[in-house]
Amino acid sequence: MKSPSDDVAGDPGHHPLLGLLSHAVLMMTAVIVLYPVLWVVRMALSPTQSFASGLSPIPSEVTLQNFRDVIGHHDVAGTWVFGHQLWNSLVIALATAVTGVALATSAAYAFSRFRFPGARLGMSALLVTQMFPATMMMIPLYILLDKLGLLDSQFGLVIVYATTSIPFSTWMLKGYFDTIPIDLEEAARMDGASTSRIFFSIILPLARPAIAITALFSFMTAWNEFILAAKLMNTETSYTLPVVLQGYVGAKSTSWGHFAAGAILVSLPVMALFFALQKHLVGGLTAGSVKG
Amino acid sequence: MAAISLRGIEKRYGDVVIVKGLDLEIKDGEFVVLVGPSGCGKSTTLRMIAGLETISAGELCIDGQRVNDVAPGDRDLAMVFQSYALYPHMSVRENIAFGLVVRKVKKAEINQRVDDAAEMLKLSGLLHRKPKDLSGGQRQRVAMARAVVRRPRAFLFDEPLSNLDAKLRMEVRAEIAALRRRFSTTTVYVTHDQVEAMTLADRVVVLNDGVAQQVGTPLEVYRRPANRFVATFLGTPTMNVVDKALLKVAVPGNALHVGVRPHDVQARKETAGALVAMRVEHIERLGQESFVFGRVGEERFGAVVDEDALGVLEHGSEVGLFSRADRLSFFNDKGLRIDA
Repeated sequence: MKSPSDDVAGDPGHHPLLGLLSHAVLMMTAVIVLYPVLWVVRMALSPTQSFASGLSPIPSEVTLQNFRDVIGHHDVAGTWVFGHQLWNSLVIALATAVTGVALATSAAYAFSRFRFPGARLGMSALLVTQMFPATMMMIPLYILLDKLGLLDSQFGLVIVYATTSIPFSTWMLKGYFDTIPIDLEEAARMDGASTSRIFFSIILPLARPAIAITALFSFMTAWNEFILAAKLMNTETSYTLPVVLQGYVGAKSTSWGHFAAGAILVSLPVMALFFALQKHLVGGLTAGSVKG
Repeated sequence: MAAISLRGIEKRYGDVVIVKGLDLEIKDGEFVVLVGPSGCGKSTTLRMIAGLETISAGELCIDGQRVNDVAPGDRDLAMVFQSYALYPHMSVRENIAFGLVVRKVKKAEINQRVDDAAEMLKLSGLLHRKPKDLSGGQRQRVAMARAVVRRPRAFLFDEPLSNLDAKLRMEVRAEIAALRRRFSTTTVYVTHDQVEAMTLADRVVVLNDGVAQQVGTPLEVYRRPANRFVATFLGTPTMNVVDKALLKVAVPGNALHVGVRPHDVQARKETAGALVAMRVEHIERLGQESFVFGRVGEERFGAVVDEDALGVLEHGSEVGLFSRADRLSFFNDKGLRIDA
């Protein structure tokens, strides 16, 4: 039987040589993107702590010793430091995501639907806060947290991270809320639903893709952040993982094997999250086209 | 069941006046259709009744009670939207039930009422589906079930058929008429489609530029249009309106223009005793009937032609136009109707 694609055989877009060429380009790109990653994998699996040289990303000798060292790191008192640090990272990133999304959804809904003085100014102000580098905020944040007694505290770090992720999340969510037809809310109002009922029963379920994307963004910001965490947290057991990674890069010597193994361990949860939320992410990025 | 009164209702956005002092008494159980061209204020009026738009001036009463400041949900009205406005993430059952769930009706009763409404609107087999898996006609019926299930004091329809194709439109129109007979609930229905207005309404309100041009039964507004706007807005093909001097007809008082519907004008081969003679420029054969069009003075003029009796007409044929005297409407210099 003739398949439908046979009918477009003359289409220049389907020329076999062009297909070959585009595949070649895509493969090249994949190699370029993956090469550094493979290199890190090679360093992590090598028994030495030296900076790997040579072109091949395939390790000559494979061992999991670096992973064992990183995961099994205990301090002199016998505390399982890595466990503490992993826990810190998880708690802080999750709390940041939850706080950030909760506050950003309600703010974005207000900006999207209510008319109030300062609505436009408010959105611009949120944008402006994104223009300052985190390092610039370092000193004021340090002083503020010090006065609040929140230095070296998970709660303090969550507040700092949430405030940095909320502006982006609010913009992202407002954009999505704007695409939800107002008719739906009017229908719900005619049905007797209150504003909060509409928000929780109509808007939030419909905004799931956008919420997934902002939650992931907030989680990643907190999970990967290094500078603030390094300055605001003082004891080894309260560090987050990025700070720990930095610790392997010493002034005199660097244990590259441990560093690489740590880097892989840190990226695993983010990768897992990406895969889990993939479906929602694609939906979130094509926001406008999602119409019932 | 409710009587709805609009007294001097106005809607202003800054300096722009959308609805200008509308007065309308809708009786309990009455089916009123607001009809007019786009931008005439008909939807705005409906939304003010619903409570989705604030009322700039005037008074809106339901059953004698002023409701200007009552929230939409507390007016106990149900609305069917042009876009259907079904909740995309809920099943058909959840969509229909939502208004009852919000009002904390008991679960068993909700199920019973949803089943009844679904059966009435032939949705029983579709209750588990999501709106995206329904056809346009089915979505429309879900929107109606959502309104019916609440047993509201009045139904509000905002151009409910304009997203449907012609055939479905007729079916759903019949369904709305059936619902209406079954519940005899007060209904306000907005449309720009004159067929819907003529077929569904007890009374038609013709709106233009935010002003009610005429309020009356469908036949009244069709037969005795209050002014030239109503005369030419309702009816297909459009009513012929020409200067009185062009027709051989006695006109009352200070009438300037004469109007007559193409359906009420017969084209014949003889011209003796005709209102006027006309050269045929265009023939529309619709199967059941045929129309001829030409010009009387500068104005386009249409008439019915019986080609079976007359023989086939050609472009350029000369025809005489005849009409019954009682089918003529007369308008003065302001375009207002003058009775003979």
